Amino acid sequence: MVDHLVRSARSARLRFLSGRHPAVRHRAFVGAAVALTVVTVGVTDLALGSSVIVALAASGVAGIVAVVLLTALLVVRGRDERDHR
Amino acid sequence: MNDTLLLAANGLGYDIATRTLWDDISLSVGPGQALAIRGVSGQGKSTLLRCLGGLTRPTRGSVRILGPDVHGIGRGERRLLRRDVIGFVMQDHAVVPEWSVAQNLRVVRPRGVSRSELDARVADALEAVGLGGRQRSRAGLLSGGEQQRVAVARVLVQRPRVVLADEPTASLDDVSAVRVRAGLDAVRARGGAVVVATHDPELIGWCGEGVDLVGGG
Repeated sequence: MVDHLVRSARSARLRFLSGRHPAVRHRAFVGAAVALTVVTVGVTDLALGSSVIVALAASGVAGIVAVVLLTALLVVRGRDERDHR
Repeated sequence: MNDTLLLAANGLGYDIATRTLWDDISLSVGPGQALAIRGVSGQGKSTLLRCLGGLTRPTRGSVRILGPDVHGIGRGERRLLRRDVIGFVMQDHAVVPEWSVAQNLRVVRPRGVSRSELDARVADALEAVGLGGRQRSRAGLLSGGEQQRVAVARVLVQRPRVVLADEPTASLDDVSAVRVRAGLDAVRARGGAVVVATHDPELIGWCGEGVDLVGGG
């Protein structure tokens, strides 16, 4: 665990110095998480007897909420001003 | 700010509690110029370099890079400056040992540069610092001198307008030091400005111009 944190800190520092946005690094993670959310909400809605249109709308809203929440979390957690005092 | 200047610092001062590390520092560099920040260890050379790069806020004064004061703009704009305008060569190399050499260089991704162009730049930069063909080597297995050359190669890939180098030749053998200076030469040849914090006489001579840090007491 400590080893992982040290490795993460090293690469985060290098990305910070290179001006990479912290959210860019996690594009694949955000994409996979949002896709999973959309599919789960859609399938669950259909299984509960909703119409296809309602299920699509619900999964779309869930996807947008997931994008907003995950991006906000990444930006706040990975604040690229950690060195600026 | 003079249009021909890339970086201009005016009246910089830095206090730690009641102690003044340095004060009233003014300097400027234009395209193709190099400037040495000289001073004994503990004088605050690295801190000044961090202030120039927008990493640390000075107690007094301003730093303008291509116009705006880097400490007066938002963090998003400062990040873009680090991505497109400022390149850092840190004393500890800032190399990720678990990554390959190429990964350590590709982490800079200037705006508008395609992946194929980036790969070509990586190959050219490694050739320039004497590490040609070492893209796939694991960075952590390189010597200290080679890692420092990787750090210099990174700014060659990035092609920033201003390079801030903190003791880039400290504890390097003569051959590695010459390679590092050759890399910094390539930055100047492209019209970039180089600011180095150093007490290496060879590097100070290479710069030509310098600023002496004198403690504020």
